Amino acid sequence: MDEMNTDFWVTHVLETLEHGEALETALEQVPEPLRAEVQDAVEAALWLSETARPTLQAAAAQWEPPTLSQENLPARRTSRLPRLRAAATGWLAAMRVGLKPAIGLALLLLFLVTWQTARAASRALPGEWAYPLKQVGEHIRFALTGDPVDRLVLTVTFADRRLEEAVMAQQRHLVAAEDEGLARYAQMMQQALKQWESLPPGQQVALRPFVAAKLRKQNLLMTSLDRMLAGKAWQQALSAQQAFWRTVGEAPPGPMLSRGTPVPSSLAPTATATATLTATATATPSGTETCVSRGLGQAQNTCVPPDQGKGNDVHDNPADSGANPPGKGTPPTPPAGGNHGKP
Amino acid sequence: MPHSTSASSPDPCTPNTPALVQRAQRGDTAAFRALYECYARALFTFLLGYTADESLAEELVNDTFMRVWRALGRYHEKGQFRSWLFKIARNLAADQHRRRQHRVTEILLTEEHLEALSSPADSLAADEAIRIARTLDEVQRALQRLRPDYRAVLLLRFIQGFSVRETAQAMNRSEGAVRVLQVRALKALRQLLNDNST
Repeated sequence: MDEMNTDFWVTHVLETLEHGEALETALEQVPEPLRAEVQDAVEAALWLSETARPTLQAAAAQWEPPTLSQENLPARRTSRLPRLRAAATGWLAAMRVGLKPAIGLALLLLFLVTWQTARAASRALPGEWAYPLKQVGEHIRFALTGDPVDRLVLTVTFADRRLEEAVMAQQRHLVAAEDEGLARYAQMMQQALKQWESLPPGQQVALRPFVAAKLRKQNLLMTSLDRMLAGKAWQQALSAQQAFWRTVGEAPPGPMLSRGTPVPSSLAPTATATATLTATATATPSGTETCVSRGLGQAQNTCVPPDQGKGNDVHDNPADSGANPPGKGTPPTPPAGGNHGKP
Repeated sequence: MPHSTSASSPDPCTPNTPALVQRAQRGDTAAFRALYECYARALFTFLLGYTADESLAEELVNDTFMRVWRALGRYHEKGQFRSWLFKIARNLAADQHRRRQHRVTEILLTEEHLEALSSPADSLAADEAIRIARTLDEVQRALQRLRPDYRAVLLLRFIQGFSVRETAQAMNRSEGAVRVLQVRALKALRQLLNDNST
């Protein structure tokens, strides 16, 4: 610490002397304990300036520098590098000054555009300008996923999105978008079915709860669609969903309800469907088809098997595992006493 | 009367140096000769104090300018030309010092001094010559006993009159490091002068 203070004061006094101050005046500023040491160092500097310098300069004055002739200098290539470097430096400096704000603004604009585009893409429906971007994003995610289980999860997740798009499209009266959403959903569920079948049994067991939850959600989305408006596309979507239910081996969800019907909290995937809001139906353990009423104001409670009519709702018992596919088998006995499709 | 430690020897070529350097970079030997004539003596003074050997100092002046001539293409005006020149000179001197392991020899009176002494009419000149010779001897002995970096900083700051910034450029150090170095060098020099006087 003392040495640092001495260093500081020596430097300070030297700078003061360089400005023309007297030594005594400069030394008065130095704290008393350090003054002697500082004075010693400063006097050494004064010796150099007042003794050493004139002596060396006098000796150098006696020296005659040899004449530098052109022959003494080796040939040297004239380099344009300094001029080029100076020019480049000038350009770079100008660019840095001018470009910094421009780059900043460009980056900000890019960020805003990207952000808004991403938002638009996430909400886009089939036929809208941002929808291809949404698809590209999904394709990229899918392409980057190698694990079969992850791929199945992605497929089912994307199928959810297709159903959501169909619902949104119907709400906005976009018929073509609705149809496309349902068609794509059906396609994805068929793809998911193949992926499921290719998984080893152990992985299927592990994945079943997830898939079942997704199917229940999809089932609810389906019920929010007015199937009469959706038409054939809705049927195809339902078929694909039911095929997946059967294959997964999970208990089926409750009966298909019409749009606008609140979903009861008691609706749970059990082997025997017990929802009684718009219909009563019983799925017998033997796997007899259960036919539910449409719930759209039909007077009768009888059901027409799907292969005979339009828009029939059929829930198979998944435990049947395809033994009684939809549309096949004997028509059920109409339930007693029942509801007639009124909410 | 105020004491001053700053040299009254500013760069003699300063107004013309940048132009001369640019011309010399393009191969103009006349411009290079002008630079040589501007800086050679100052460089010799520095090297004489650094090496305490007149012939070696002359050789190093020549080597320095040869090196500068070849390296002018790489010189860019980040620092002053003078700082760059002295940096090259110091590096060459340090290399020579390591090779020759130079030892201080007593400065003898030159032939000119002796001729001056032989003439009674010039007894004052002779006395002056002897005084200069003895002082030079004393100076060089003191400087040679310092570490090379102490010697360099004292020669640049107090003999050549370089600013702290120029000294930092010539020694390839920071300005703070130069300030600390000069104080340490002065303390060491003071110790040597005290030892000599006792």
